[in-house]
Amino acid sequence: MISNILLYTMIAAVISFALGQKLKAVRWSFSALFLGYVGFQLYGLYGQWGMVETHNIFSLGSINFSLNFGITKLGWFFAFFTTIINIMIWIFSIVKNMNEKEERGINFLWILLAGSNLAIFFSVDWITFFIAWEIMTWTSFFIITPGWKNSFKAANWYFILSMFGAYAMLVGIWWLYATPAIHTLNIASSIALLAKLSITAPGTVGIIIALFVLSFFAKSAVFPFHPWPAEAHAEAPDDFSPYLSGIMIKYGLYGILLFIVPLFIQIMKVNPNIAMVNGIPVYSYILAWFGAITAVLGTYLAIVSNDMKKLAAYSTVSNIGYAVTSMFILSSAGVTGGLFHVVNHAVFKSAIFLSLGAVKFRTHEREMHKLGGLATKMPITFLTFLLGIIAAAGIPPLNGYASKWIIYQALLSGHFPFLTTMIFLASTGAFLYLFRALHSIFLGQLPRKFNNVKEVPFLMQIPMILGILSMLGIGYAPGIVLKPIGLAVKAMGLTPMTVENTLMVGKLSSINTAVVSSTFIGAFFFAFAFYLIGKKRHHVEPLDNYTAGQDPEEFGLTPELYHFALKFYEPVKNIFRPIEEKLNIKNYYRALVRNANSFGATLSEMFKLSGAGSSMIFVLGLVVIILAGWML
Amino acid sequence: MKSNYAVLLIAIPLLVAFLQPLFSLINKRLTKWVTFLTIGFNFIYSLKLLNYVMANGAQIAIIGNWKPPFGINLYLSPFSMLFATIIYFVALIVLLVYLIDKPTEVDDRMSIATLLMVMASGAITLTGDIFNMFVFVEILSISTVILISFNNKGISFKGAFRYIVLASLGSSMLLLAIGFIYGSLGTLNLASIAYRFNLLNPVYASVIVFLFMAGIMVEAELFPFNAWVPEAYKGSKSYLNALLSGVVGTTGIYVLFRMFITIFGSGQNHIQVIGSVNFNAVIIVIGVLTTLIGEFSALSQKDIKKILAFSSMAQMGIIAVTIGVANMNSINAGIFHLINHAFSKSLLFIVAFPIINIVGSANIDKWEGLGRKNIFLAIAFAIGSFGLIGIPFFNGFWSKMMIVESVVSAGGWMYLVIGTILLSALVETFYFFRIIFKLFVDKKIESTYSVHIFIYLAILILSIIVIYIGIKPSFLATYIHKAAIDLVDKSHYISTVLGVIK
Repeated sequence: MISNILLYTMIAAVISFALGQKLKAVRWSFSALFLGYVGFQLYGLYGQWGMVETHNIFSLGSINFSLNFGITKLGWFFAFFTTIINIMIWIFSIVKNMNEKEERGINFLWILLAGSNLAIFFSVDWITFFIAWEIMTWTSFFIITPGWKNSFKAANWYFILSMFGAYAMLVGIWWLYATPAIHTLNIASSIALLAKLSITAPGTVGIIIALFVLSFFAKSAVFPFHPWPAEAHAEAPDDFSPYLSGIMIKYGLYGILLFIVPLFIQIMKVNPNIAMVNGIPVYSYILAWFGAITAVLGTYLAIVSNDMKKLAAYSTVSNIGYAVTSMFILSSAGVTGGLFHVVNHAVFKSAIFLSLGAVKFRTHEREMHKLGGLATKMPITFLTFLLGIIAAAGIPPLNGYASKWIIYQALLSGHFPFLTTMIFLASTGAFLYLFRALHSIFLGQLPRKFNNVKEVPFLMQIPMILGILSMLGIGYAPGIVLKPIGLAVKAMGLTPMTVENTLMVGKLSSINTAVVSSTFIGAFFFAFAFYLIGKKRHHVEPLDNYTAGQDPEEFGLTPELYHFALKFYEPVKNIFRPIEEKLNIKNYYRALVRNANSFGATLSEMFKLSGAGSSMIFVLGLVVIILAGWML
Repeated sequence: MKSNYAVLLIAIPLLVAFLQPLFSLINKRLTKWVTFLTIGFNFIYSLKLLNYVMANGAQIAIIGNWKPPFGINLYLSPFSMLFATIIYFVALIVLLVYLIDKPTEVDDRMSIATLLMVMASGAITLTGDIFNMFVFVEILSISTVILISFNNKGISFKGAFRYIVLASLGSSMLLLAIGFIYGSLGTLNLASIAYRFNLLNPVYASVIVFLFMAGIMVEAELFPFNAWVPEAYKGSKSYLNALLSGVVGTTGIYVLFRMFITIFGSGQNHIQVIGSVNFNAVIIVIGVLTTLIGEFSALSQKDIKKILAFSSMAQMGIIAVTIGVANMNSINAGIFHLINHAFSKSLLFIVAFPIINIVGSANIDKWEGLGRKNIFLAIAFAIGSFGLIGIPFFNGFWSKMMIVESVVSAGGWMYLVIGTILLSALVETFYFFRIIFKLFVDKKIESTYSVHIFIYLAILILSIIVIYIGIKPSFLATYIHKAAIDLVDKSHYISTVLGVIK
């Protein structure tokens, strides 16, 4: 069944390739319909836990390569939700690409990507997982950079870090296999065996965990891999950014939930002499701190960025930080909260990116100080963005609130005061950048050139409306998502949280989301009534406001310079500048790349010597080899 | 089937090579076709022999009824026939490009040299006599140097000169080694050398191995004996690049495999500590250095021919590591990767030829927008690179997986080795993706060059192979499995050639 779906995906990719550039509307509609079919099939697969399909590829020597697909609760959950979000994005893509001058044939790559997305969630052995992971990496590379030079530089950040992670995972996989006590490629059994091995050989287990963690962190842009989303998400095609941010960045978290978290839970159960902090293994505690650092760092970087897509990308980074911290608490509430936040983030961040995509679709601008006042021109987009950032900031009654509530419950009930502080700090910082984005893009004065901007076509509004509905829906009744999450959490060996459709029961308190939602919606309408009966506003040109009646053109002033979004958080930036200058990870990466290039150039000089020089290398090399061979 | 007829694989190309001047009297273009058909015959016949030895086990061909160890014999086993077949096959495909190359004054002489080169490569894989091997290595290097210098550019002469200097240094090392072997063991037959090699004084033996290594590593493009590589590739024609990498390099690595594991190695457990020298470690270090240098140098290059040259050097380094690791899985992996590399790299060189002609430059910065002009070539280039860097469901993926597996399972300082190799692989992935990206940049290219159908044919065949091996590696796995067993089974090699000395 699963392999059939994957096979159909490949066939769909071929069909899409064959349809060609002229029929782009057809192929985007086709792919959205196809994915709808896939989603339907996935829905039917619910409940068939433990089903495994094996396809042998070949065996040579002592290794047998085979593809194994199976349905786990966690995998099904991820596969289903990502597919639904993907369908939403593709509905948006239909119109977006119809009007694009050249759509670059990314559609067939994206179908392949969607297939590898499913394969990642359905693989039950590491080889299959790695294959799906690699296909995901290279297809997404070519989608991010379909022949655009700017995006090539951006995609390189993503690609090199991802490949680095993939190779770390590859070594980890074969290290698992080469360890005699484990010697398996099955994911589930490798967890159990590794946990046992941690009693006798903690060092080996630690290194293997580190290799996998590197890979997952690189994919999910956890510190120190946090620079890539801002580059790649910002430069990717506008309809791919929601996918990157909503779905792709979650693969690392999926890996953590698939392997690292259950492993730590197992180790806690079987290994009595593991070093513990606050009731969790010390490794887990350290990794939780990585999450917290990511959350704060992402928030800061979002605050100081002026590019709206970069802002949203850094916001993603910081949200990943919350989820990572929460997951590594290893308590039931922590894992549930992390997992729930992954879903919620996928929903609201794709909604945010879709609305940004819609803004860019109409205005072709990305820098916030060139925008403004679009709320009346693009009401649906505005509403999507508004609710998206409310969700992102964790304000009730939207879905982000529900998951942040669980995360705080987990942190506080686990007694992690410092981690809680970090997450609070990041969460408060989120208000700074989110509302800045809102008022810079949608509120304030509309620049003259955008007087004729219209709302996006209806087909593009559909996914945004769906996003609004699901944000509100999950916020109103978090139980619809938390119940399947409970199954996945139970499969990891934890007691799931008690939830009902509109009720979440935490250790410290319980909350009825239906009551909260009704209260907030009531309050909203109350305030809205005030807005309606309030006085009419006067329109004053921004330049008239600031230049006291002088002719601004004499000073070379433009409305953009007086846009309040420009250098809005300059003071914040100034405070942190000394730290930023010294500790900018990006500079280290850049230096690494520069040095790799010059290292290569130096080495290749060796091959430009004359005949005499090369025979010298020959003879000297031989002498060195002989001497070294003899000595060592 | 009489295995003695296998001599025809050497005799016929040799004969035809000497008859080429006669054909050239009729028409110079005819000599190209004659070369092509001769290699075609070799391929078909060796394929037949391969299937024969796969079914019936290793055979020997005795020349002049002088039984080994006194006469020269050819050793036909799954391993040697597999590589002979692949060499002939790659050469055959590459010659499709040669056939439609611009006619020149020296076509007849080039045909002779090409024929001799392919013949010598095949013969090196087949021969069971070390001096015979030396002679073929000499023929190989001389015909190669002739071919490189035929391109008539400054850089060709530079490359050719450097190649001849290093190759003659290498063959003098080879000759010294062979002289030592003959002086001490009194035999030139490989099986009998294998049989008696551990009787030698260890210090003496290790000197022989060192010298032999230096000699053959020139052909195998391993550092520090490979200074000829980039300029020679840059200076020669595209079809010759494919031959240099797919045929000459493959042959060099083949000899390393055969000599280090079957002849000098100690059979089943593959431990090659001779005297106090751990040759496994020596080869691994050489391989890792070659990979590192090759990939990083390729990163800094702009010229496609140099990039591919450095890349093939690096791949040879990876395969050398598998020779050094020398467990059964790594040998399987090494053989597999050698085959994959021969196919993918020839594909890349062949694709590069029309692209260079369309764009008018070998500089990859000028390649921007080729995908808009000729999507087929761009996709073929992507397929070749995917095969080389090991993207899932392309051929190189499986062999690279096996290489990582075998090296990691060796444990100890091999973690450092695999770290370096994967770092280089990261660099390689990056620069190939950079080229593929450039191919799809939106830019108009003005060109009137039309690609000949033969080039499309060659590209199509190799692309299909690259993909087919990636999707269904099992058909190759049976061959590789038998080849690897043949390679490590020293006593079987000895007893097949020398009869019952046990």
